[in-house]
Amino acid sequence: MDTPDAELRGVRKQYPGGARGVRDVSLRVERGEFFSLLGPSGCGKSTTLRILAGLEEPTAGEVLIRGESMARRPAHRRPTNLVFQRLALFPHLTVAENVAFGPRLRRGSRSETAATVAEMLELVGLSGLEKRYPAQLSGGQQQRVAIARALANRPAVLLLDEPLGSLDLKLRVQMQRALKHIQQESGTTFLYVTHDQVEALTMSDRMAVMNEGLIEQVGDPATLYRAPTTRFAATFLGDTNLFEGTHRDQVLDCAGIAVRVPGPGRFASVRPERVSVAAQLGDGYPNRFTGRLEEVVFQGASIRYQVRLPSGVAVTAERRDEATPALAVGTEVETGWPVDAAVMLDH
Amino acid sequence: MSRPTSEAPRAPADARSGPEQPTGSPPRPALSARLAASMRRHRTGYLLAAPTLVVIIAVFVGAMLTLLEYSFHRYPPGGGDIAGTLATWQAFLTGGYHWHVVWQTVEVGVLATVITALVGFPTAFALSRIKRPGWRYAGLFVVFAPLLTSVISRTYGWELILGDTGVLNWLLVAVGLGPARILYAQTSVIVALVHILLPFMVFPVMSSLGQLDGALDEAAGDLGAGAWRRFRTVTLPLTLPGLIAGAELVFALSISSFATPSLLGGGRVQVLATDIYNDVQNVDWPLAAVSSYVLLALAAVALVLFTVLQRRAGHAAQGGVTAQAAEPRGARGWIGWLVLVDVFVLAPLVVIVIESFSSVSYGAWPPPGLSTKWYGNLLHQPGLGSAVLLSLEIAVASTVIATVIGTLTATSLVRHAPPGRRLIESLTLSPTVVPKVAFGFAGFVYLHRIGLFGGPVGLVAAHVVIVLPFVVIVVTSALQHADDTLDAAARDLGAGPVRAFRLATLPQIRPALIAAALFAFVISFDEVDTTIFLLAPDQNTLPVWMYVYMQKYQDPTLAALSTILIGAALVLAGAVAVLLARAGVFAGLTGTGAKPRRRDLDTGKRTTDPHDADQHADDQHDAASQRQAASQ
Repeated sequence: MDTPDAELRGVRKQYPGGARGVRDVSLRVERGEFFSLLGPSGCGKSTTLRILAGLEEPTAGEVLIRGESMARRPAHRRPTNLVFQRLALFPHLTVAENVAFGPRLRRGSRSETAATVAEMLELVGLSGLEKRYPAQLSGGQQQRVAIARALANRPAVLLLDEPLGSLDLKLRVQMQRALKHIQQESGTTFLYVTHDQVEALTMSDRMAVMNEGLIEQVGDPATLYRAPTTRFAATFLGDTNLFEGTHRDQVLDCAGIAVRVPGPGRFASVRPERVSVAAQLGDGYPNRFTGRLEEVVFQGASIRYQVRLPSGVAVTAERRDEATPALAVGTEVETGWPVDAAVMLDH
Repeated sequence: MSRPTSEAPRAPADARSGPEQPTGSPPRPALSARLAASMRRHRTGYLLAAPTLVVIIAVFVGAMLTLLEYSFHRYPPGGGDIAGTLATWQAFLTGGYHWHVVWQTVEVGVLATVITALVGFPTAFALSRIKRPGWRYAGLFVVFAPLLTSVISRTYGWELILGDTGVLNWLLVAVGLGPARILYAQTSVIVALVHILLPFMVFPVMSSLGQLDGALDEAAGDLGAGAWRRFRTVTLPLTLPGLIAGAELVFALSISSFATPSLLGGGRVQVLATDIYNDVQNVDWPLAAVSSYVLLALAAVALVLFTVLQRRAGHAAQGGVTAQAAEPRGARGWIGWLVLVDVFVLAPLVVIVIESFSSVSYGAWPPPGLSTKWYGNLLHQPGLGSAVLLSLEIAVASTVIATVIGTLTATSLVRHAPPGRRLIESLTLSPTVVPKVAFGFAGFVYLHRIGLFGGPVGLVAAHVVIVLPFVVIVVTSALQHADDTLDAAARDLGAGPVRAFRLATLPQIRPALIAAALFAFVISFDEVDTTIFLLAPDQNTLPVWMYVYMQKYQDPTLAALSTILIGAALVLAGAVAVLLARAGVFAGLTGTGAKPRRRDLDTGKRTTDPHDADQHADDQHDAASQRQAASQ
């Protein structure tokens, strides 16, 4: 494999006073990849990004960009650029001047800089707005300027720190598509930090799930969703029914119910969309339990059911709207899932 | 969970140490090594603060310590100098006269503070209640404009009004009540002090009122409280911090004021500040040193008292939770009050301008005839030209130096926060606690001792010490409000630390820098209390020249000079207002911080803009999300 565009080896960051930082992160981001770091707030993902950008100094570990060590190299001499969470557009500069900020510092010729600015604004779809000030732009346009400004330096890796956090849902979806498009068009490696699992799943080529300063799992979105290897990865990415118990003979003995499972492990994770629910289930459900329907939540395209088993365990099922006949809350129902629906986890 | 947490201690025998285990944590280094490491890490922070610390320690602390040493000297009546004795302190503390002076100082301070509060609080309240912005700015301008005119000018204006043949007595005679003797007594000193110190009361109260959560007043009204009760139970307690801050400033400035009691007290109002000056004139330096430290002690005790009061009122400083602006409500009564205050504020200035065209050489009211001869007379004043020049030189030099090193210090405090920043901050601000007369005399003794007396270096250094705290306060506050991610963005895009500061931070704090420099210039140009001690016999600054002239002569030459100064101040204030308004255009554009701000300057360009669709969509989203937020 080629030299990765960005590589972290055993990076740690401890803050004085014991504030949460990064405990140990090793990571490879390949050339041209859209890589996401996903995790809850405070898990160390933004710190990891700032360490790559050179805005924070790691306590230990090594940062390499295109195989070159970044030790003691300050932010302004690194081939990385950052799209800030709060954008940090210069309010006193126009759109064009914001984008030209980096190229000018690199002492490009005037015509070169102008060409870069034009190209970048074209790329993000803002041609024609060169003379505006940031405050004269909409939220979505400001995002695009921030991206164009960071790309204008032609970084080896573009770092993005939850740049869409301040946008409302619909605009965010729109910008997600635009970002993916820009990334493919420019062929730049993107390292994207987010706490939004949907964002990470839809945009990434590969992603890492982070928790408490550690990487839990790295992989492509489908693998991470379908085959999580830790309890945290399973519960943080999407919903899941998590059963804990002792494994014996392909059965997980769990709080009074016996769940048939595909292999050994302490936990069984079963996605709600793999769980069926009906007044009377047909054949083919090795895991089949009777319980009381406790809650029905209409979610548009799907319906969520919560079934309380006599043992006290709650099972959540999610079914497409038309797939299930109407069930009344409080009635007795059957719920079940195939053996291979469960993913086995040790921790 | 099977994965051990980093807090869990592990036996060293556990060879399979997880990745979160510090890789072979070294033994704790020695204190000196850790200190050196800390110094290295925070080197930039210390370097930035260093020039200020050098100035403060070498000039201010040095002068104050020399003064302290002098208070343990004694000059016996027959001549000579005895060092290391408590005799002067003893003489001061056991002499009835000195206690009388201390008492009178406190009395002047308390009276000036109480009356300024009584005038200033309603004024601030009225200003915050005016709805029309135009009127509001006019009101603010009238209250604050006198700050730009010299203290000596304003004192002179009051002499013209309160004198035996002045405006007030002319009015009293006209209604059959006069004449009365007002000048050269405590009353005239207090009146002038209230006039001079009013802005220092109005400003903090206004800022307190500005932070007042408007919803609280509405809530009190909703719960059935009438106007007076709302004021007494909500507004007053919540604006108490502003009132206390104002009182603190006014008290500190009035007990240490020198020129006003000296000129308007006519020798009958003996306060510590005038006593210090007289003792120096009588060459009793040790006694002046003791008086200086007693005045400093008085200021320190007041500071502690006000700080305790402030802490008690502290809950109010937290403000409300809705951050709703108080609804300005116009009321005729308030306008009437403001007119009265404006008359009081403007009267001395107006009288000065009229008097400058008087045809006679004594302060007669109304002037019997008109003439411009006093303006001509200015040209023949010995030493006036060189005094103006020296004042300008000192003001420009100290403004430039203080603005540069003060900005560096503020950057160190806000952006680098080196260990010990509290100490750096306290040292930098400490000159504000010391009465300026005391610092002036301290500087006098100190410069004599180190052999710099009479030169420009000592004068500029003293002025830098005086204006530095104001620069640091203004720039620190501006930097705290500036978005430091812009600095990080500039560095990320390839700017080194210095260039990042210039390109990203400087534009944000430019209005504050202009304000700080202007502030420094005005304070330095108008400085009397300290400067008067530091001038060699053949030297004069403009305000000191005016002080000396006013002591000797009564003719309207000073009125002509003051009129020119008032005109210059108005021109300067206008120019700065325009400058700040222009800078404010940028300040208003700093909307990329927390939430993208709506642009509204380009609504006319809708149809020709290829990005309308995007923008329009954004607009709708925003409108929708706002509606959603509003309905929740």
